[in-house]
Amino acid sequence: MGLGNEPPRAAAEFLAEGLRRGENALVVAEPARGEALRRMIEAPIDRLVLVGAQKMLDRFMEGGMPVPERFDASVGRLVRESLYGHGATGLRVYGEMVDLLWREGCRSGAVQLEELWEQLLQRHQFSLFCAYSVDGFALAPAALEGICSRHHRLVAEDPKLDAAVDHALDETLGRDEASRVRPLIQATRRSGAEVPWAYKALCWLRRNLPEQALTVGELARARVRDFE
Amino acid sequence: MRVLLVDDDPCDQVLAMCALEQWTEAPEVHAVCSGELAQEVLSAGFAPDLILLDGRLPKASGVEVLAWIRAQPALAGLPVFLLSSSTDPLEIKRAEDAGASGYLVKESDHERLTTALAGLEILVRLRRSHLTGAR
Repeated sequence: MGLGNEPPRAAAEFLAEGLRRGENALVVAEPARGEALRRMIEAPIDRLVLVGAQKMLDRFMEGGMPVPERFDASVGRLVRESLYGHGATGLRVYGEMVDLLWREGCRSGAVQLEELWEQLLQRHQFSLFCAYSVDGFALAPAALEGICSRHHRLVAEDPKLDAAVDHALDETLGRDEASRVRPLIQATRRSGAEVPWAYKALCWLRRNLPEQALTVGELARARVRDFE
Repeated sequence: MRVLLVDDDPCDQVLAMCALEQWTEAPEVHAVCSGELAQEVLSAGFAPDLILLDGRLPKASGVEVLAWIRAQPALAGLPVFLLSSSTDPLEIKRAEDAGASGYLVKESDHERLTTALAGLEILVRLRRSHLTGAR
Protein backbone atom coordinates (compact mmCIF):
# COMPACT_ATOMS: atom_id res chain seq x y z
CA MET A 1 0.00 0.00 0.00
CA GLY A 2 2.85 2.41 0.79
CA LEU A 3 2.22 6.13 1.00
CA GLY A 4 -0.13 6.20 -1.97
CA ASN A 5 0.26 8.31 -5.08
CA GLU A 6 -0.73 11.57 -3.48
CA PRO A 7 1.80 13.22 -1.19
CA PRO A 8 0.57 13.92 2.32
CA ARG A 9 -1.38 17.18 2.37
CA ALA A 10 0.20 18.10 5.71
CA ALA A 11 3.65 17.75 4.10
CA ALA A 12 2.70 20.16 1.32
CA GLU A 13 1.45 22.67 3.90
CA PHE A 14 4.63 22.23 5.94
CA LEU A 15 6.90 22.93 2.94
CA ALA A 16 4.75 25.76 1.56
CA GLU A 17 4.80 27.50 4.94
CA GLY A 18 8.59 27.29 4.97
CA LEU A 19 8.86 28.75 1.48
CA ARG A 20 6.61 31.66 2.49
CA ARG A 21 9.02 32.31 5.37
CA GLY A 22 12.00 32.37 3.04
CA GLU A 23 13.24 28.87 3.83
CA ASN A 24 14.43 26.32 1.29
CA ALA A 25 12.83 22.91 0.80
CA LEU A 26 14.43 19.51 0.39
CA VAL A 27 12.28 16.54 -0.61
CA VAL A 28 13.64 12.99 -0.33
CA ALA A 29 10.79 10.93 -1.70
CA GLU A 30 9.65 8.43 -4.26
CA PRO A 31 10.16 10.44 -7.49
CA ALA A 32 6.53 10.61 -8.67
CA ARG A 33 5.37 11.72 -5.23
CA GLY A 34 8.20 14.24 -5.00
CA GLU A 35 7.11 15.72 -8.33
CA ALA A 36 3.50 15.85 -7.19
CA LEU A 37 4.62 17.61 -4.03
CA ARG A 38 6.56 20.17 -6.08
CA ARG A 39 3.47 20.90 -8.17
CA MET A 40 1.28 21.20 -5.06
CA ILE A 41 3.48 23.80 -3.41
CA GLU A 42 4.50 25.61 -6.62
CA ALA A 43 8.03 26.05 -5.34
CA PRO A 44 10.47 28.24 -7.28
CA ILE A 45 12.97 25.91 -8.98
CA ASP A 46 15.97 27.30 -7.09
CA ARG A 47 14.34 26.90 -3.68
CA LEU A 48 13.42 23.24 -3.81
CA VAL A 49 15.70 20.21 -4.18
CA LEU A 50 14.08 16.90 -5.12
CA VAL A 51 15.96 13.67 -4.48
CA GLY A 52 14.78 10.08 -4.98
CA ALA A 53 14.48 8.24 -1.66
CA GLN A 54 15.81 4.95 -3.01
CA LYS A 55 18.62 6.69 -4.86
CA MET A 56 19.66 8.43 -1.67
CA LEU A 57 19.44 5.21 0.38
CA ASP A 58 21.76 3.51 -2.11
CA ARG A 59 24.41 6.06 -1.23
CA PHE A 60 24.70 5.23 2.46
CA MET A 61 23.13 1.82 3.12
CA GLU A 62 25.27 -1.28 3.44
CA GLY A 63 24.04 -4.72 4.48
CA GLY A 64 20.66 -3.32 5.56
CA MET A 65 22.17 -0.70 7.86
CA PRO A 66 23.01 2.96 7.28
CA VAL A 67 26.72 3.81 7.44
CA PRO A 68 26.89 7.02 9.55
CA GLU A 69 29.83 8.57 7.66
CA ARG A 70 28.17 7.91 4.31
CA PHE A 71 24.85 9.26 5.61
CA ASP A 72 26.62 12.45 6.61
CA ALA A 73 28.49 12.67 3.31
CA SER A 74 25.24 12.32 1.32
CA VAL A 75 22.18 13.44 3.30
CA GLY A 76 24.17 15.60 5.70
CA ARG A 77 25.94 17.34 2.87
CA LEU A 78 22.70 17.95 1.00
CA VAL A 79 21.12 19.43 4.13
CA ARG A 80 24.11 21.72 4.69
CA GLU A 81 24.11 22.87 1.06
CA SER A 82 20.37 23.50 1.06
CA LEU A 83 20.30 25.19 4.43
CA TYR A 84 21.42 28.62 3.39
CA GLY A 85 21.55 28.36 -0.40
CA HIS A 86 20.08 31.26 -2.39
CA GLY A 87 19.89 33.48 0.67
CA ALA A 88 17.38 31.26 2.45
CA THR A 89 16.63 31.71 6.13
CA GLY A 90 16.38 28.03 6.88
CA LEU A 91 15.40 24.63 5.56
CA ARG A 92 12.44 22.27 5.69
CA VAL A 93 12.96 18.64 4.75
CA TYR A 94 10.37 16.06 3.78
CA GLY A 95 11.60 12.45 3.99
CA GLU A 96 10.31 8.98 3.15
CA MET A 97 13.48 6.92 3.52
CA VAL A 98 12.75 5.44 6.96
CA ASP A 99 9.35 4.25 5.84
CA LEU A 100 10.80 2.78 2.66
CA LEU A 101 13.38 0.79 4.64
CA TRP A 102 10.76 -0.44 7.08
CA ARG A 103 8.50 -1.68 4.31
CA GLU A 104 11.45 -3.43 2.69
CA GLY A 105 11.96 -5.32 5.94
CA CYS A 106 15.12 -3.45 7.05
CA ARG A 107 13.64 -2.71 10.46
CA SER A 108 16.86 -2.24 12.39
CA GLY A 109 18.15 -0.10 9.55
CA ALA A 110 14.99 2.04 9.67
CA VAL A 111 15.34 2.61 13.40
CA GLN A 112 19.04 3.42 13.01
CA LEU A 113 18.23 5.86 10.20
CA GLU A 114 15.75 7.63 12.50
CA GLU A 115 18.61 8.02 14.96
CA LEU A 116 20.92 9.49 12.30
CA TRP A 117 18.26 12.02 11.29
CA GLU A 118 17.91 12.92 14.96
CA GLN A 119 21.66 13.50 15.26
CA LEU A 120 21.64 15.62 12.10
CA LEU A 121 18.78 17.69 13.53
CA GLN A 122 20.84 18.32 16.63
CA ARG A 123 23.80 19.53 14.57
CA HIS A 124 21.90 21.76 12.14
CA GLN A 125 18.90 24.06 12.42
CA PHE A 126 16.30 22.63 10.07
CA SER A 127 12.83 21.15 10.33
CA LEU A 128 12.01 17.62 9.29
CA PHE A 129 8.69 16.14 8.24
CA CYS A 130 8.75 12.33 8.14
CA ALA A 131 6.08 10.38 6.28
CA TYR A 132 5.19 6.89 7.47
CA SER A 133 2.75 4.64 5.69
CA VAL A 134 0.08 2.71 7.51
CA ASP A 135 1.47 -0.63 6.35
CA GLY A 136 4.97 0.36 7.32
CA PHE A 137 6.40 2.20 10.28
CA ALA A 138 3.20 4.01 11.24
CA LEU A 139 1.27 1.18 12.88
CA ALA A 140 4.15 -0.96 14.04
CA PRO A 141 3.84 -0.84 17.84
CA ALA A 142 7.57 -1.51 18.25
CA ALA A 143 8.41 1.59 16.23
CA LEU A 144 5.68 3.88 17.51
CA GLU A 145 7.20 4.79 20.87
CA GLY A 146 10.31 5.96 19.06
CA ILE A 147 8.31 7.92 16.50
CA CYS A 148 6.23 9.60 19.18
CA SER A 149 9.20 10.50 21.37
CA ARG A 150 11.31 11.86 18.50
CA HIS A 151 8.74 14.12 16.86
CA HIS A 152 7.22 17.36 18.06
CA ARG A 153 3.89 16.68 16.39
CA LEU A 154 2.23 13.76 14.69
CA VAL A 155 -0.49 14.04 12.11
CA ALA A 156 -2.65 11.16 10.92
CA GLU A 157 -3.10 11.99 7.27
CA ASP A 158 -5.57 9.18 6.81
CA PRO A 159 -8.85 10.04 8.55
CA LYS A 160 -9.73 6.36 8.62
CA LEU A 161 -6.80 5.48 10.88
CA ASP A 162 -8.51 6.30 14.18
CA ALA A 163 -11.61 4.37 13.17
CA ALA A 164 -9.49 1.42 12.08
CA VAL A 165 -7.68 1.27 15.43
CA ASP A 166 -10.96 1.67 17.30
CA HIS A 167 -12.48 -1.20 15.38
CA ALA A 168 -9.39 -3.34 15.96
CA LEU A 169 -9.52 -2.52 19.68
CA ASP A 170 -13.14 -3.74 19.82
CA GLU A 171 -12.25 -6.92 18.00
CA THR A 172 -9.19 -7.67 20.11
CA LEU A 173 -10.40 -6.81 23.61
CA GLY A 174 -14.15 -7.25 23.11
CA ARG A 175 -16.53 -4.34 22.68
CA ASP A 176 -17.42 -3.91 26.38
CA GLU A 177 -13.81 -4.20 27.51
CA ALA A 178 -12.64 -1.77 24.84
CA SER A 179 -15.28 0.75 25.86
CA ARG A 180 -13.92 0.66 29.41
CA VAL A 181 -10.27 0.83 28.42
CA ARG A 182 -10.69 3.79 26.02
CA PRO A 183 -11.25 6.43 28.75
CA LEU A 184 -8.17 5.11 30.57
CA ILE A 185 -6.05 5.44 27.44
CA GLN A 186 -7.45 8.91 26.82
CA ALA A 187 -6.72 9.94 30.39
CA THR A 188 -3.14 8.64 30.34
CA ARG A 189 -0.77 11.57 29.89
CA ARG A 190 2.25 11.29 27.64
CA SER A 191 5.40 13.30 27.37
CA GLY A 192 6.46 14.62 23.99
CA ALA A 193 4.35 15.08 20.91
CA GLU A 194 0.62 15.43 20.82
CA VAL A 195 -0.43 12.32 18.99
CA PRO A 196 -3.60 11.26 17.21
CA TRP A 197 -5.84 8.73 18.95
CA ALA A 198 -4.65 5.79 16.84
CA TYR A 199 -1.02 6.29 17.87
CA LYS A 200 -1.87 7.05 21.48
CA ALA A 201 -3.89 3.84 21.75
CA LEU A 202 -1.16 1.72 20.16
CA CYS A 203 1.59 3.20 22.32
CA TRP A 204 -0.50 2.58 25.44
CA LEU A 205 -1.18 -1.01 24.42
CA ARG A 206 2.46 -1.55 23.57
CA ARG A 207 3.41 -0.52 27.10
CA ASN A 208 0.66 -2.39 28.92
CA LEU A 209 -0.62 -5.20 26.72
CA PRO A 210 2.14 -5.86 24.17
CA GLU A 211 0.55 -8.93 22.61
CA GLN A 212 -2.75 -7.17 22.09
CA ALA A 213 -0.85 -4.20 20.64
CA LEU A 214 0.51 -6.42 17.86
CA THR A 215 -2.95 -7.79 17.09
CA VAL A 216 -4.55 -4.36 17.09
CA GLY A 217 -1.80 -3.02 14.80
CA GLU A 218 -2.29 -5.92 12.37
CA LEU A 219 -6.08 -5.67 12.36
CA ALA A 220 -5.99 -1.90 11.93
CA ARG A 221 -3.62 -2.21 8.97
CA ALA A 222 -5.94 -4.78 7.35
CA ARG A 223 -8.91 -2.53 8.04
CA VAL A 224 -7.27 0.46 6.36
CA ARG A 225 -6.43 -1.75 3.37
CA ASP A 226 -10.12 -2.76 3.19
CA PHE A 227 -11.10 0.89 3.18
CA GLU A 228 -8.84 1.55 0.15
CA MET B 1 -7.65 -8.91 42.48
CA ARG B 2 -5.38 -6.95 44.75
CA VAL B 3 -4.41 -3.31 44.50
CA LEU B 4 -1.74 -1.45 46.43
CA LEU B 5 -2.69 2.19 46.81
CA VAL B 6 0.13 4.52 47.86
CA ASP B 7 -1.00 8.04 48.72
CA ASP B 8 -0.31 10.31 51.65
CA ASP B 9 -3.48 12.35 51.17
CA PRO B 10 -6.42 10.69 53.00
CA CYS B 11 -8.97 12.43 50.73
CA ASP B 12 -7.24 11.17 47.59
CA GLN B 13 -7.05 7.70 49.13
CA VAL B 14 -10.80 7.70 49.72
CA LEU B 15 -11.51 8.94 46.19
CA ALA B 16 -9.33 6.25 44.63
CA MET B 17 -10.87 3.56 46.83
CA CYS B 18 -14.38 4.69 45.86
CA ALA B 19 -13.37 4.45 42.21
CA LEU B 20 -11.95 0.96 42.71
CA GLU B 21 -15.14 -0.15 44.46
CA GLN B 22 -16.96 0.53 41.19
CA TRP B 23 -15.12 -2.34 39.53
CA THR B 24 -17.31 -5.28 38.53
CA GLU B 25 -15.28 -7.39 40.91
CA ALA B 26 -14.25 -5.04 43.72
CA PRO B 27 -10.55 -5.57 44.45
CA GLU B 28 -8.89 -6.04 47.80
CA VAL B 29 -7.21 -2.68 48.35
CA HIS B 30 -4.23 -2.24 50.60
CA ALA B 31 -3.63 1.47 51.21
CA VAL B 32 -0.42 2.94 52.60
CA CYS B 33 0.65 6.55 53.01
CA SER B 34 4.33 6.50 52.02
CA GLY B 35 6.81 4.97 49.62
CA GLU B 36 8.69 3.43 52.51
CA LEU B 37 5.58 1.60 53.72
CA ALA B 38 4.88 0.47 50.17
CA GLN B 39 8.39 -0.98 49.96
CA GLU B 40 7.85 -2.67 53.31
CA VAL B 41 4.59 -4.41 52.36
CA LEU B 42 5.96 -5.44 48.98
CA SER B 43 9.15 -6.75 50.54
CA ALA B 44 7.03 -8.69 53.03
CA GLY B 45 5.43 -10.58 50.16
CA PHE B 46 2.23 -8.68 49.40
CA ALA B 47 1.64 -9.40 45.71
CA PRO B 48 -0.75 -6.92 44.13
CA ASP B 49 -2.08 -7.07 40.57
CA LEU B 50 -1.80 -3.31 40.28
CA ILE B 51 -0.12 -0.43 42.08
CA LEU B 52 -1.52 3.08 42.13
CA LEU B 53 1.23 5.42 43.21
CA ASP B 54 0.92 9.07 44.14
CA GLY B 55 3.53 11.10 42.28
CA ARG B 56 4.25 13.40 45.21
CA LEU B 57 4.91 11.44 48.33
CA PRO B 58 6.85 12.62 51.39
CA LYS B 59 10.51 11.49 51.45
CA ALA B 60 10.86 9.09 48.51
CA SER B 61 8.92 10.48 45.52
CA GLY B 62 6.54 8.39 43.44
CA VAL B 63 9.14 8.07 40.68
CA GLU B 64 11.79 6.91 43.18
CA VAL B 65 9.42 4.27 44.57
CA LEU B 66 8.59 3.24 41.01
CA ALA B 67 12.29 2.86 40.19
CA TRP B 68 12.68 0.64 43.25
CA ILE B 69 9.68 -1.48 42.18
CA ARG B 70 11.09 -1.92 38.67
CA ALA B 71 14.41 -3.03 40.17
CA GLN B 72 12.70 -5.95 41.97
CA PRO B 73 12.62 -8.93 39.61
CA ALA B 74 9.31 -10.20 41.00
CA LEU B 75 7.63 -6.83 40.50
CA ALA B 76 9.31 -5.65 37.31
CA GLY B 77 6.34 -6.40 35.03
CA LEU B 78 3.62 -5.25 37.39
CA PRO B 79 1.27 -2.46 36.19
CA VAL B 80 2.17 0.67 38.15
CA PHE B 81 0.21 3.83 37.41
CA LEU B 82 1.31 7.19 38.72
CA LEU B 83 -1.51 9.36 40.01
CA SER B 84 -0.46 12.95 40.36
CA SER B 85 -1.86 16.44 40.52
CA SER B 86 1.10 17.68 38.46
CA THR B 87 0.85 18.10 34.69
CA ASP B 88 4.52 19.06 34.37
CA PRO B 89 5.82 17.38 31.17
CA LEU B 90 9.19 16.77 32.85
CA GLU B 91 7.54 14.85 35.65
CA ILE B 92 5.57 12.82 33.12
CA LYS B 93 8.78 12.08 31.21
CA ARG B 94 10.56 11.02 34.41
CA ALA B 95 7.69 8.65 35.21
CA GLU B 96 7.79 7.16 31.71
CA ASP B 97 11.55 6.74 31.87
CA ALA B 98 11.27 5.03 35.25
CA GLY B 99 8.86 2.52 33.70
CA ALA B 100 5.41 3.78 34.67
CA SER B 101 2.60 1.90 32.99
CA GLY B 102 0.79 5.19 32.74
CA TYR B 103 0.54 8.67 34.22
CA LEU B 104 -2.88 9.83 35.33
CA VAL B 105 -3.69 13.31 36.56
CA LYS B 106 -5.81 13.64 39.67
CA GLU B 107 -8.76 15.41 38.15
CA SER B 108 -11.06 17.76 40.01
CA ASP B 109 -13.71 15.96 37.96
CA HIS B 110 -13.89 12.78 40.06
CA GLU B 111 -16.25 11.09 37.64
CA ARG B 112 -13.62 11.30 34.91
CA LEU B 113 -11.03 9.74 37.15
CA THR B 114 -13.46 7.01 38.20
CA THR B 115 -14.19 6.26 34.54
CA ALA B 116 -10.47 6.13 33.75
CA LEU B 117 -9.73 3.85 36.70
CA ALA B 118 -12.52 1.51 35.60
CA GLY B 119 -10.35 0.62 32.61
CA LEU B 120 -7.67 -0.66 34.97
CA GLU B 121 -9.90 -3.59 35.90
CA ILE B 122 -9.85 -4.71 32.27
CA LEU B 123 -6.10 -4.28 32.12
CA VAL B 124 -5.61 -6.38 35.26
CA ARG B 125 -8.02 -9.06 34.01
CA LEU B 126 -6.38 -9.31 30.59
CA ARG B 127 -2.95 -9.57 32.13
CA ARG B 128 -4.09 -12.23 34.59
CA SER B 129 -5.72 -14.31 31.87
CA HIS B 130 -2.56 -13.99 29.80
CA LEU B 131 -0.31 -15.03 32.68
CA THR B 132 -2.47 -18.02 33.54
CA GLY B 133 -2.91 -18.96 29.90
CA ALA B 134 -6.69 -18.72 30.21
CA ARG B 135 -8.71 -17.31 27.33
